Amino acid sequence: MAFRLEIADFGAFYERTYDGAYRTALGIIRDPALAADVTQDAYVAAYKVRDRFRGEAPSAAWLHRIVVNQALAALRRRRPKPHTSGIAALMPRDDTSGTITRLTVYEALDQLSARQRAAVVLRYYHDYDYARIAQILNTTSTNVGAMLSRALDRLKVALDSDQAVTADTGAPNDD
Amino acid sequence: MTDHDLERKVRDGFREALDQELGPDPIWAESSAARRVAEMERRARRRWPLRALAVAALIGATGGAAALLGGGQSEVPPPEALASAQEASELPVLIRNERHEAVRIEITGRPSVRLDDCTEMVVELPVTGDWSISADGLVAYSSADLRASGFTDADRDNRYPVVMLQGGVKPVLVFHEGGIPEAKVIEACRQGT
Repeated sequence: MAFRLEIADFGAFYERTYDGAYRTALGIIRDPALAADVTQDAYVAAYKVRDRFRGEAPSAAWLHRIVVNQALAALRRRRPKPHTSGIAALMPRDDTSGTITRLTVYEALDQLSARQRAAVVLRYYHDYDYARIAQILNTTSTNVGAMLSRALDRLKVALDSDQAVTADTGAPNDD
Repeated sequence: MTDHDLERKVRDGFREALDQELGPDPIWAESSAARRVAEMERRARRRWPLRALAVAALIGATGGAAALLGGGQSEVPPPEALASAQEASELPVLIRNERHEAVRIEITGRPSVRLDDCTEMVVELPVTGDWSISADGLVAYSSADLRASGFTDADRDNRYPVVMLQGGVKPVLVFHEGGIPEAKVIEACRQGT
């Protein structure tokens, strides 16, 4: 019950959680416009079922479950549509302000299935533990572990190939 | 690269990448979600008068149809069934008689149907078909009003065009040709404390 008060003022709840919700949708969907729409849909859905939120878990986790479900449903509706444009296409190759570039991150995400992207975003962006991710994705912690392991294998290949590219072009490489 | 290094790299990279992403609707009041929620709330408020009249329709159907259609021919339950009504959800069909072009029903205030004792009763009236209802000759509602309010048959799973009796209302319910509805009691008459 402790977390129920977090959504009592729904407008404040929205503004407090919007960025995280949008980024969750974006990480899964990889299309900014659709992610924005899905985020709005998720808040409307959350509002409709807010009376059923028992407050046993943080409200953000409750919201992220709704966002993830909406995002996966949106992708199912528009399938098949390989992601070839959107954020990655707009970013310069030499955007290297961090450990790995944003472009690399998004290209790496593109190598994953939608559920894998959801698991990766929940784990490595939101820092949820396996049990919470399992709850959100309606699966088991064991499956989450396996899903993340496969996702990391793919990400490693994507990141390794990006490092090779940056090495060839002389772009900075933090390794 | 070790697994630990890879995880750190992924975590740092994702955080840095996603933290730079800003959605287009950070302000609740300006968001489409807020507009949709406001519309939902507005529609929910509009349902209250419909609810009152829908319950009145139920009472009218039970009280008057027996007299008009002949108690033996109709499927209208006796008024006592509504007054006690704990098992009212087992009364799926209150009126079904396609032979009548129009059936005009008035509340007659039978002693056994103590309207004033009922504070709430939930009844489903169909969106489809063609019917209208008025209270004391004042405001008329109809299946067309429901449709204009945005109700559809698909809404039935989670939104009923229903509920709430206000004691003393004396409605008139008219079923038009081809529009004989099936009024379903969802919840019994609740008596005030």
